[in-house]
Amino acid sequence: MKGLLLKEWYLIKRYCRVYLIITALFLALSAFYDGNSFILFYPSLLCGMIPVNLQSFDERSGWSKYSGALPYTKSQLVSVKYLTGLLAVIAIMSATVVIQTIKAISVGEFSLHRLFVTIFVMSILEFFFSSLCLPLVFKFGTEKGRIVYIVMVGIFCGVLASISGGFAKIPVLKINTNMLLICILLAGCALYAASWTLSIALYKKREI
Amino acid sequence: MNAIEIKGLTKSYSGFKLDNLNLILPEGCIMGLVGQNGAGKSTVIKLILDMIRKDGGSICIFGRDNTDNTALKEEIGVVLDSIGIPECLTAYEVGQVMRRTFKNWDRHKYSFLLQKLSLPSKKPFKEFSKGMKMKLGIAVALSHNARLLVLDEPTSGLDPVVRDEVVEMLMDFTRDEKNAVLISSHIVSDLEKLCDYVAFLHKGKLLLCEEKDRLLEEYGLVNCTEEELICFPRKAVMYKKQSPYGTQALVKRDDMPCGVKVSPVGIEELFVFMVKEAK
Repeated sequence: MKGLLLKEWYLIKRYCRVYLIITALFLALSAFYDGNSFILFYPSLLCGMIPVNLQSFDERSGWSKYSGALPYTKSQLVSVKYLTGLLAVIAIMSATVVIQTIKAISVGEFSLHRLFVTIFVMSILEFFFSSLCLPLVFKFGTEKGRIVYIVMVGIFCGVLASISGGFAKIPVLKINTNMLLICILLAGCALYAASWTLSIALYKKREI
Repeated sequence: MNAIEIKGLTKSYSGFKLDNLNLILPEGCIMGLVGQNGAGKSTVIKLILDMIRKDGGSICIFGRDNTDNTALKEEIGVVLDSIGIPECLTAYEVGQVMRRTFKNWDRHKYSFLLQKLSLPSKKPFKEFSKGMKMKLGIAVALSHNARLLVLDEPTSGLDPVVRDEVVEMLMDFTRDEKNAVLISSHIVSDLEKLCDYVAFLHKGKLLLCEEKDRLLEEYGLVNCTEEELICFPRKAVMYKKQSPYGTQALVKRDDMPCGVKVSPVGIEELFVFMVKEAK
């Protein structure tokens, strides 16, 4: 599994450099634009695309076939994509937490609740898109999976824009029911776990 | 012990059926799997590597069933026709990934092979020539103390010098009598140099699987006229080919009458005759 993770890291370094630059740019912007949800959460959307793109590179280079001949189980080959997605969201969340905390402390408006909400929304975004997209990718291949993903992001952004008036403050940041937040996060985690299990089952049936 | 033992193997796709394949590759031997494009060579290899599910039959590698057996894959070095190494990785990075993939990864051997094959360690795989890509695939397959090498069309598209290097490396590998190689190709001349056993596959059926030397001893070619051919025993003539210049027949040497000049037959000619017969 370590070998697979290392391979993913090499691929991210080379092919996902643009994502890393855009993410860094949006993280930097989030320090200056207060409450702009699009700037705050866009890196999470990008992050959700990384596992799908990695799978696409694997299919193009023939790694998907070759890895079937290496001493890895199909569960491991699927799991590495989910783990990479998790690691990416953790990295982006950590950076966001640091930036938002420094920003909030510097203006004297630090709110733990608001920080938690930010983390919850970010993780849910990544969980939601990866959870829906990855099983399709493992079942049908990346081309169809990617189309579904783009359509989903388009719909999501459209809905977000229409309810928040041009990507301004979105209502979710005003949620103050802790229980609701926890329920949403748990639902996101459950969805991710179910998607992970489903992808393994689908990939086991797929002939490479 | 047999390196590979296949019994009654079947696999169906729409428009193709691998039909009741039986094949044995003993340790210390090299077997060439010969067949036209679409004959089923890659399907057999994928089934051996448990990359696709079989419909029936059994496959044992070193006496162990190959299904869901990741430990067994430690003992198999694989080179596929598409290689499969990510384009952006350098040979050094491939080594780092494989070191964490195979328990028996031998990094000294890998470095030695990179040097021996003049492969740059810091150049991305996508900048390699086809020959270099194939050599890197073989270097990886030889660096984790595999006992069985499975190679799918490793010499296709390579220039004669690189092909010769590949053939030499494989011969080196089988100097250890516990090792074995299964190599598929439609370039029969390479297999002729290399193989102890030859298996002919045609439209999913195994036409024959024999020791190469025995095949060459058993069969021969006769150039004659149509009238002369009629005089030969029927069971001796396997196939005939007529042209304006005469008739050429593939014959079984033992069944031919004394005094008839039987020329040696190459594996390629034998394969072409058999495929045409099967058609």
